[in-house]
Amino acid sequence: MNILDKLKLDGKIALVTGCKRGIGKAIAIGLAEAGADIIGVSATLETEGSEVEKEVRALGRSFRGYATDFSSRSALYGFIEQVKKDFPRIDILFNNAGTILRKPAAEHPDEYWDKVLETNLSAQFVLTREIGKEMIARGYGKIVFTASLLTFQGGVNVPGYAASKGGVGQLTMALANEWAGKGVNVNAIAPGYINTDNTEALRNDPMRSQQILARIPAGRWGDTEDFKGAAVYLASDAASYVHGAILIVDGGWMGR
Amino acid sequence: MMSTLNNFTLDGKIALVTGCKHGFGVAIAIGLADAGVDIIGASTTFAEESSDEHPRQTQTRR
Repeated sequence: MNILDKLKLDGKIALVTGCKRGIGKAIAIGLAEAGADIIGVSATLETEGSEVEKEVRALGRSFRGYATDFSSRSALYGFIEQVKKDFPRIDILFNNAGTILRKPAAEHPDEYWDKVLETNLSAQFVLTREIGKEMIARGYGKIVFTASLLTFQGGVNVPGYAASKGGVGQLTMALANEWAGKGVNVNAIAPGYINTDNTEALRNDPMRSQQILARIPAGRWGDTEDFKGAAVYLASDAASYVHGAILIVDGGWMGR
Repeated sequence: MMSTLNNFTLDGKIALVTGCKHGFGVAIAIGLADAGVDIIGASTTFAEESSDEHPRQTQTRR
């Protein structure tokens, strides 16, 4: 089979969490460009008529939207039950939903810690276990997590976020160890500093913004478009021997 | 056209692949050619089987 054909996702159904804006939206559109039909979910997604839905449909792919706040375990379980009922087969799970709350560690409140850990790590595990067990039963599935530079580094003023994303990296490898032999690929993409809502506070701080830019060898912050290729690759059969990898897409930051 | 998949096509590109006679390198050269690349292949033992005038290099076009 031609290698370019292995990258095609025609006939595949992809669930993309956190798909309303930023990296998740670009990933949903990128997967649709490669041929996948999209199931999208985010805390505030319009169940009909969202921007991401319009763009996916314009590509000739189908889209179904759900609104679920992953910081609520009961809401998460409600979503899982519904989406499994609506879509008995999900081929690709893109775990991109996440949040960030900033406050120095000495003043970082329980509420911040709990919300970030629940949304970014615990909900990711629960959703992946429930969708993943169906993939194992069918012997086919592609799971990709959105990790972070803070999977590897500690960051500043975001101890919960750093802990959660470190956990996502370990979870990626833990699941890959168990599922690689069952036809399910589990990998992650670690974005660098990207122009999204999550980094708005950094870009609005002239000193932090300049410090960050100075360390990016590519000489620019990343754009959400930069993630489409990595997403399609890891979601495709071109990456069928790639398990437990964390693909860093950061303009060279980590190598600096 | 589907832009993300287009980003994987390498039509018009020329790639030098070293160690391309066996294993890994063969797969890489063929994979790149599949994606549209013209290949320059190099290997320490290429010359023995190649009529190419360069002693340790051969040049092939897709």
